[in-house]
Order: sequence, then C-alpha cells, then structure tokens
Amino acid sequence: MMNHSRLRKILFLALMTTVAIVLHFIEGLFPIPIAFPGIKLGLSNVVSLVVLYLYGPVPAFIIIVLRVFLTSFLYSGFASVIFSLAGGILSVAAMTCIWKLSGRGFGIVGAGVMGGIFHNTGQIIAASVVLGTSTVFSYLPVLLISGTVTGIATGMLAGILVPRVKKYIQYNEVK
Amino acid sequence: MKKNDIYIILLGFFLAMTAWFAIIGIQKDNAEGEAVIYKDGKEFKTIPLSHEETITVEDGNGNINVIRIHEGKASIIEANCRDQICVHTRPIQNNGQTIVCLPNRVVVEIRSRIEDVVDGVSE
Repeated sequence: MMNHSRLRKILFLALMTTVAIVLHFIEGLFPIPIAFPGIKLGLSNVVSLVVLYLYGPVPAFIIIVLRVFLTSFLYSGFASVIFSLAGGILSVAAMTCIWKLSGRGFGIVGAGVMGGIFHNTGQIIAASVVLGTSTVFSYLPVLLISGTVTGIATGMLAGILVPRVKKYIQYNEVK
Repeated sequence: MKKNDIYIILLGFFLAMTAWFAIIGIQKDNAEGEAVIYKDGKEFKTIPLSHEETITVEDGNGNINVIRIHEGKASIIEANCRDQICVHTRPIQNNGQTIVCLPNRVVVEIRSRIEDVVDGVSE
C-alpha cells in the first residue's frame, strides 16, 4: 500500500524547490539599487528555513543543492554555481546548528540571521578562491550587515509560515 | 523570536564591525589604488598609492612635471607649464580621478585594483 505521508512529504519538498526557484528568479528581477554586488534579500532562504524546521536538515540540504543547480542552468549560467553552492551549503549548515539549539532559547530568527551571515561569507570565500585575490574581502563588513538584516526579515517570515504550513500538513494527515 | 536570537543578531553586527576595522587596518598599509602616469598618451609609469615617491617626468623639449605620491594621494607638485592648472589641482586618491597637464601632455590617473575584481564578480 502506498505510504501517503511519504508521498505527501515528497510532493511538499518538490513544491518547496519550485517555490525557491521562483523566489530566486523574482529577486533577480528587482536588484536592490545599491552599488554593491551581492546584496540580496535572500527570499529563497525562507524556503530553506521552513523546510529545515518542518522536515529537518537533510531535505533542506537537498533542496538548496537542487535550487542552486536548477537556477544556474535556467538563468545565471554555470559559472555562478560555485558561488551559490558555497553560500547555500554554508548557510544551511549554520541554520542547522541553530535549529539543533532550538530547546535552548534559539529561535527561527536566529537561524535566519546565521543563514544570512554564512551565505554571504561563503560567497565571498568562493569569490576570493575563484578570482585568486583577497581584495573581495573588503566587501565583507557590508555583506555581514546585509546578511544580518535580511536574516531577521527572512527569519520572521519563516517564523510566520512554519506553524501555518505545519497545521495544513497535519490537518491533511488526520483526514 | 526567542530571547537568544538577539545575541545572534548582535553577533552579526559585531562581526561586521570587526571585519570593518580589520580591513581598514589592512588597507592602511596596502592602499588598493595605483597612480598611472601618462606622458604623450603613452603609459609612463605606474606607482601604487601606498608608496611614498616623487617622480620627475621630463621630455626632450624641456617640459617638466614633478609628481608626488604622498599618504595615499597623488598630486603634481611642480610643473614648468604656463597655466599651472595641474599644480593647483587637489591631490587625488579615488578610482578614476585624474590630474591633467595639457601643455605638457601629462595625465595622472588613479586606477583601483579592486575595481577589476568587482567587475569579475558581478554578473
């Protein structure tokens, strides 16, 4: 017999991957008018947070890797894979650490901030490796600030979404 | 938002400030720009702004410009041209700024090394 909750999980995660891709695309349409490369709202980070808090780190990792490869193939070109992958994996790893500390007073906003900080740091490290220069690190302070601020925003958004999506999933399972 | 989240937010700002101070410290000894001196449209010499140096640009016709790199800024301190505009131009330090001495056909331009890198990153 088909396991319905497993099927539901797979469908939900596939849907979340799609949402992450679409959010990433929409974000690309509205570049923030600041003369700084790399500052982004990180909306697709909301998806990572929601999946992490509903299904744990492994699905969150799978979704970020899928999202990076699919968006790179679809729009930005393969060269950006290394930047996005470094940022994405570091950010999910950092968020997982905070998620593990959930019982000790660390919430989803903290996870979002950690995700934002590590996402930007990862991208800078990847850029310095690829370009073979450390001058890109002069962007680190600005990117750390922007990672923190956008992390608060994505964390709060995910905090609103998680209980609602959870309710929806459980409601359907009881039925 | 749980109570410990505020510590993570503070950590983010703290890290940013630390990184900022560290980078300011590094840039002091290692200014990122360089002054490019052009004479008669050709590149004559390139000097990093971190150097303290005084260069004399002289040609066969007796035209002389003395360019000084001092405390991360470039300026023309002496010239035998008739208008002396280049001497009165304020010292330059930012990418793209120039000092021009038209009579002697000397141009000093600031080129930032970091700019090339950024162009490489942004898609």
